[in-house]
Amino acid sequence: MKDKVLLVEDEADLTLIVSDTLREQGYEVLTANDGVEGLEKFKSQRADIVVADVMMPKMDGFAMAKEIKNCRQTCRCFFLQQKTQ
Amino acid sequence: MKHFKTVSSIFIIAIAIIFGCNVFYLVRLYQSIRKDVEREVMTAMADADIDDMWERADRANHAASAKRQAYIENGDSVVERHGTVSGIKDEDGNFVTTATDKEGKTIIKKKPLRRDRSYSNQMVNDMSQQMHANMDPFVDFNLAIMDSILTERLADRGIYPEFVAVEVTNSNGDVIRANSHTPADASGYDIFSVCFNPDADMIYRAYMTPLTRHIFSEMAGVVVTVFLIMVVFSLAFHYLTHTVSRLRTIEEMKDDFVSNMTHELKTPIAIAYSANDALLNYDTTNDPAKKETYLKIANKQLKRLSELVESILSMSMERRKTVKLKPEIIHLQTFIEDICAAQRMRGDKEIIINVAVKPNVTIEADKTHISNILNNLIDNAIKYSGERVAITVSGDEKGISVSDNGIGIPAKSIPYLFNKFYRVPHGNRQDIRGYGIGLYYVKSIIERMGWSITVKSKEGKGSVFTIKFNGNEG
Repeated sequence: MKDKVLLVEDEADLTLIVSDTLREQGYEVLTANDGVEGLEKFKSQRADIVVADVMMPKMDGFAMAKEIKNCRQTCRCFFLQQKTQ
Repeated sequence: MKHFKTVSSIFIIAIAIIFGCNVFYLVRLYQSIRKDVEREVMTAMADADIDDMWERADRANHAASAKRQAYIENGDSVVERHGTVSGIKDEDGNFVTTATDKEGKTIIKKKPLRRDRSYSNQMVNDMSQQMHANMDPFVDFNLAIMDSILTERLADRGIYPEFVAVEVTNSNGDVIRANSHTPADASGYDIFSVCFNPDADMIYRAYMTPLTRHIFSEMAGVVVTVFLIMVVFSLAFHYLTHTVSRLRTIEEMKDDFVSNMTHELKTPIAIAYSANDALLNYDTTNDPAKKETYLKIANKQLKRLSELVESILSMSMERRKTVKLKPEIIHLQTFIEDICAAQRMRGDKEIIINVAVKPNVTIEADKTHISNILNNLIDNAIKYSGERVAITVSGDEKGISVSDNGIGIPAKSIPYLFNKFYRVPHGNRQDIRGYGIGLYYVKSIIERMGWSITVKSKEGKGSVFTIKFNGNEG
């Protein structure tokens, strides 16, 4: 059984495309619109992998990942980043 | 930035220390000049005393001559006696004065000469005291004459007090010879005392207007120069730090803008690319609905990208002043109601827009730009409000205002709100999308039209943007 992926992205269109792609690859996909919702869903539904945008409302991707790592160190986190820094 | 602040702080502390040292040495200079002036005053009083004695001796001689003449005319015989004073230095280093008064009495005084003081001063002082001992019992003081003599002696030394009055006292301060000009309240006057007859315990006490003005006039050149140097130095430093600080802020804002703009440009590109990639690499022939959805997504994102590029271009065109305004007569109420009606159609939130515009008001403005301005302000009001948006747009012949019940703007951000690239900072959080150029564009066009725009806001309560026609800010 493939891993459960939590996709946290505030762009609805991108959420649709990425979640469709992941599902076609056999992953179970949970979605959230912002860092706060993402953290709640991670705690309640125990995702194995987190794919998150960085720039999001309420809580950015890095802050959310830090909280997730505090809950479970072994969780793998991937970031979708487009900002030049 | 931290390094800049540290260096600036060091310079400010250094300037403060230099300023403190200047003040310290100016105070020392004042004290030094004051001591010199006081010494000059005391010397002037001693000289005035000797001049006064010559004057008194003249007066006494004239009186004696007149008396002698009267005696001679009367047929009486006259015997003249004169008082004399002489002084020598003996072999033991003492100054010996011999005085003979008019009664024929001889007084000899011997005083050791101090080697740490001027011999001539000591000799003159001793002889002067002997002359006083001879004269004072027989010739009275005329303090009015003493006042004018002292004034002249002070003027010889470049000291010009507005008021001088001399009286004679003893060492307890009791007045022996009063001067009618002596002030009743001695506070506010400088007072100098010289003992001219220690045997009789008699002291000249002089009142004069404070010498501070004279001393400051001596110091004026130095004080003014030092003050000007410090002022110029401080102003130059302030200007430089302010300029550097402003340039750094602009640079940071530009960096933020570029960073934000990169994200805003890349996002629709990435989404359209993803949609296209999914269409190419994944089998969608069996799912025409999905195919249509992805194509619509690509289309929407490309449109979004196009609008963003247009706003960047319009900002740069404004900077080159190539935007030409085309004013026309606009019926304000109808115009604003049309804009608000279109904004109400947006489906993303519950939007209530109240229109309170005075009927029959017309304005002359470029319709396209004024429409962009109002849409920008209403867009911001919607963006920066919660789920339930309540906006009021009001207008009359004086101006237009747009008020909302949104999150408000922090007070410290308001002075920068209309600056290019400025956005209220939230770190990596992107609660609301924006580029920091909308309000800059709004203000630029409003000012091109000769109007003005102001904002009042309270965090948590909402904001009011007010456009005043004809540049009248209120």
